Amino acid sequence: MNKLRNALAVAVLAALAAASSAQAADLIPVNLDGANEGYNDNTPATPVGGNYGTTKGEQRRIVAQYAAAMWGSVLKSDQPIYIAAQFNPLGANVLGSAGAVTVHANFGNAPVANVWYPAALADAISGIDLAPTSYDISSQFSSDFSFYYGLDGKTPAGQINFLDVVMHEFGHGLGFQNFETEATGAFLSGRADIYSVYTYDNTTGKFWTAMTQAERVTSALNYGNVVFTGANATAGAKLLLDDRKDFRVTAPAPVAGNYAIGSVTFGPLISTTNFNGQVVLGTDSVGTPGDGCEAITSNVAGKIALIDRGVCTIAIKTKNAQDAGAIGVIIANNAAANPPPNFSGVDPTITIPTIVVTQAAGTSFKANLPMTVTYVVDATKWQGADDLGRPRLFMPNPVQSGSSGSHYDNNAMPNLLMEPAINDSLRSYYNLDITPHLLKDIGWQLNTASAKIGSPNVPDCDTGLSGTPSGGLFVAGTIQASNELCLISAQTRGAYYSCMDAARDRMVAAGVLTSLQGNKVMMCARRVQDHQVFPIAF
Amino acid sequence: MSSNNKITGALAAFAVAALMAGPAVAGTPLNVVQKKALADAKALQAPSPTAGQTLTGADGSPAAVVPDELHNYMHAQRDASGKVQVLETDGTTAPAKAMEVTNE
Repeated sequence: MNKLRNALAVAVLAALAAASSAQAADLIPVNLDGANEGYNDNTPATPVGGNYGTTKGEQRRIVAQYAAAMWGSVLKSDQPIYIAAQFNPLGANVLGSAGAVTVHANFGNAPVANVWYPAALADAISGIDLAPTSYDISSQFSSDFSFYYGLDGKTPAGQINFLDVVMHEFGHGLGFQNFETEATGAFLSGRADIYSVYTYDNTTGKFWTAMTQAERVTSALNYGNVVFTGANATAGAKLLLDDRKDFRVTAPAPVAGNYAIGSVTFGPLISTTNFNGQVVLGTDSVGTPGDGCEAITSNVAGKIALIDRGVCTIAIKTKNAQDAGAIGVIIANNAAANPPPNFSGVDPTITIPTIVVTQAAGTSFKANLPMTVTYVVDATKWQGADDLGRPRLFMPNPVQSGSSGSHYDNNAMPNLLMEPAINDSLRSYYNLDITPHLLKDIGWQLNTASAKIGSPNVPDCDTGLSGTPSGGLFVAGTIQASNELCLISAQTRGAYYSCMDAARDRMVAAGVLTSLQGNKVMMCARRVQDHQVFPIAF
Repeated sequence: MSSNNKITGALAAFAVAALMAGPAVAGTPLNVVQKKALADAKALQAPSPTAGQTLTGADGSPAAVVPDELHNYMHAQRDASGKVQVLETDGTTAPAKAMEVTNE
């Protein structure tokens, strides 16, 4: 397996390093906010996590600029990519939104005819600004929400990392999205898009572009069975995703196979050692027998109890099963939904694992009891990919408008930047996982040049640090984004150098750079310090 | 022409010049000053086309405006234990179902 992965790594890096004459892309956020609002909010703020802004607006601008520089260092384009950037009071609980402003087809050098490409990508491929009076990406974020504006990934509990949100949303604007309405199956203006060219349903054996509108509606509900077939995304998935973990029924034959599961927040996590054995029905003698809300009276001792969701909390059901001697619990959902939901709850006395299966699976299980189950790690497969290693796309049932289709599956491990739910394990300030791989599949050229540091008056200094993505890490992007931040914020030469020094320290502490690599960065920073006049006049 | 109008006119002229110039040096990424100038210039341009408007690309190729309904909206939710969940949907409607639900 390691040999395979090493070979894949070489192949991926070689493919990603394909020569190109285009330059690193310039993503340019355009501040459209009025005086003293949003990006111009003058409310004083304390610098945090490498963000040196001293007002709320300045901190927001710095994060947007940092995200733009990160993405710009990853991609190649000779055309500036303009991002309309605003903070607005949005609806309750709405954090923000983004997407391509226009789409284009059949432009010069278009790799695939008669399909939409997002504006930024179409401009990059054609080499001209196809919609010069328009922005390429539209973005707006909520002025009512308390984000964490630090750039170090150390988000306090209960807050949301703004950089992760912006990186995710800009990713959509750059092309990690289809232009199709999952609920109706309709393509924008009746024309397919380049993302859908690679969207494939393993059940029907059809690409979305070969389906009827009705077939796409069905496919958009086919959780776990729709994948992105691009060669780069597939190679990246095989390199970066964990070994697949499966909840598996081994007998009887009619229900044998792997099943999607949901989790709970109490008790131990399911593992290969704590979830093996016979499954029987867990019933009580009060009210609805299968709800497990009262003391379990069926014989579940030493077995895994199958209990229906409903009436009382999952924690109560689990505790009742535990008290009856069960070694684990399977909750059968009482609503048609796939994937099965996750449940929160607290009970520190619970010591047995609990999983959740779909209503359909629960019904099948109950008709085939007793059955034998196990939890396995399959080192020949990948968590969040199909058996061929192609990353799964998020296609829940019922459809979640906006989440469906244009994201990697939330089943992937490790968590990915382009899953539908942002979570605190992301580190988008240096790790873009397999997002650029998909962007390359749809036509972007990746910038694999080594990290360079320069300024308006100082030619770029080559740090010699690889710009090639390795294990999802884009060190060059982090270095160059940090340099831009320091150039913009520093009032003196010394302040610039101190800013770069702090950025270097953060990267070394995070394990992104070795000390030796950090020294190379600082050699270039020294050159800028010696020859650039600060503050830079804008 | 008032002094304010003169300033506006000068800015507009600069904006047009900056936008027409494009990247300062072909094959070389823009520096921070050039990016700022382009951002300021773009901000003075007419607003983006609206959804439903028919477009033609600068080279005559087909184009379309992407409606807001196809943009991705992020939402925050909190579960019973106070844990923040962030979900994404189309449009401004909050997601119907949390990724993590509180029993039943």
